[in-house]
Amino acid sequence: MQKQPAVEIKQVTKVIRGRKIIDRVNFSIYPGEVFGFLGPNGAGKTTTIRMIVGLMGITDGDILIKGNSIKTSHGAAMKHIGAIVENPEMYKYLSGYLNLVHFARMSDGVDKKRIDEVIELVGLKNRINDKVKTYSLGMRQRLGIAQALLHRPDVLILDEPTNGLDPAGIREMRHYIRNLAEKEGLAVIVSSHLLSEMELMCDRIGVLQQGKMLGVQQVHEMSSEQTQMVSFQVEPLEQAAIVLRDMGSKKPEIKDKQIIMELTRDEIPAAAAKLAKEAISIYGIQAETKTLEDTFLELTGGKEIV
Amino acid sequence: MSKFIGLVRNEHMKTFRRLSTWIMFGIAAALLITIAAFTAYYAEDSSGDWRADTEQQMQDLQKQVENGDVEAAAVQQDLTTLQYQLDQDIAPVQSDSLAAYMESVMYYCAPFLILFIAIIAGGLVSTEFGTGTIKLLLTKTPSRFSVLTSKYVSMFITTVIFFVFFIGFSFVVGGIFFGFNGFDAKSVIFDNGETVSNNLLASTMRDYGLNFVQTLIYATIAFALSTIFRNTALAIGFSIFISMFFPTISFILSRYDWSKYILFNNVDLTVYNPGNVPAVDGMTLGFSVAVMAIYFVIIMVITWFSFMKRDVTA
Repeated sequence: MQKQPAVEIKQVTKVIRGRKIIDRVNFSIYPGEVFGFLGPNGAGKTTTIRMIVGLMGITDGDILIKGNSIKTSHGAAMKHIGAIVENPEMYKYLSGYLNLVHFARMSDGVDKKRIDEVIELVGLKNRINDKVKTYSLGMRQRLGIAQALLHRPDVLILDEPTNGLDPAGIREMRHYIRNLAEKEGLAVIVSSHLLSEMELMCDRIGVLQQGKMLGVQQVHEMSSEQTQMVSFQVEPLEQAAIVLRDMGSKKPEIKDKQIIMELTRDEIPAAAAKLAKEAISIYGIQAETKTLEDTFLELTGGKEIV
Repeated sequence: MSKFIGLVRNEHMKTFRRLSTWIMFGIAAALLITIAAFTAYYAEDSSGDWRADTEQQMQDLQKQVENGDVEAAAVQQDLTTLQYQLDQDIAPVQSDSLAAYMESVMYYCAPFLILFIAIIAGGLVSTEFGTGTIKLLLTKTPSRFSVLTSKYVSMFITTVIFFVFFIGFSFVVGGIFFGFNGFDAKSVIFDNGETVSNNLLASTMRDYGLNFVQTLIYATIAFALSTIFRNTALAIGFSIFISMFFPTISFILSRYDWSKYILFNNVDLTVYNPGNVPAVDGMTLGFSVAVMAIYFVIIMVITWFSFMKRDVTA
């Protein structure tokens, strides 16, 4: 990650009517990565996103998009951004195609060919001439992404991109976002309250609470290097507990006819080998990854997450 | 610049792809045809000699004065006008003529033009906030200044289109119903103790021009309220209410000299036409234009400032 950041958020503070909504938030997003923006309701996720795209003013600090300040050079900064803020709201009485024509006219160098290309990309070819009011939410979401990608931006900002999509749609969206980051080298910022969703989609996750950035974490680090809870379904239980006694940091516990203990990833096969050697019957071994949810709850002190 | 034209085209696309805009054109067309049909149906036979009719009219009036039915002073103006028509050989305008139709249509339908344009202008900005599309509109390269300016320019062009449609359509409908002739029809007006005549079609066009100014001011107010309060109903409601009820309010306030500084007392420039009087004594055309210009600049500054500075939370 030695690349020049695509988005730099520098000591950004937002005060609305004397209340500090965002307090000196600092982070950078790099090309080719998906950055997840996480936080309970009212933490300031949407406010931060609105400041990045220039919908809200910045009380103090600055936001740079490819080195252009959103405060002083709005046009140059917005050239690099494609965004959907909250819902993909389009002109419902216009066709999907005319909506794209509308946004193409607002950008430089978007010709008819590019519009067709983007339609193909999001798979709306068959319905593009229908009015948007006849679209399903998933189709509106896709049209929203099409308008965000029209002018070939370097930064894609998606506020709650999987909101209201069915499981297949969520999967497709996830695939799509990963593809854009990995193949096209876009920097993608997504916000979501679906933690498990974020874990599958993002490279790094920043947790925001009460206007403060609590920490930015690498997703992989979080799941592979920490210890995890492992449960063994074995017979006989007591004997197995003795066999496994000197593994892991804590003593094995017997609960619900299983042995539960904390192990690192590498220790799991070793434990299985030991059990097999002692002729203990193994019916199942499950490793419970410490989910992002747990980490999140730890970070935010377990306060309401919606 | 080409991008600004693109923005104006976008606004036009949004206005003219809406069903409501076409309903307005439909209502206007229906209104114009209905008025023409009624005028043609109820028109009196005018094939007789207008000179004889005019002389008869004068004799009737004089007889009424002799019988003491009316005061001599009350009909003096009418008598002078009729005499002037005879002297100058000006035939009275027939109600079932193209020129008379176009003139009456202008008087009856000018309020509709204000209504239509106020409805369109009052929704231009607030609708984008209401549907959330403002977020897409403002997260592209064009500045907020050019987005708002393109909307105003589009509103101006839409007003021109409505006026051109109204004038053109009424000309065609009037021509079909009453024949394309009588372009030199003159009306006689009693102004400041003098009798003057002017070309009816020309004065109708002049009044359309003056109504355009008035419509534009009400549209600007609707546009400003739509931008500042982001509320379509308020923007349309207020501007239409004022345009309809201000004449009454103006009458009540007319005894106060300061009321001449109220914007709405200055928007109707037809009061300076020959034969008309302004709301407050001593008001002049130049005065009204100056008052309008000052209000216009203030409204524009507040509107643009509000749009460019405020956070978008829609």
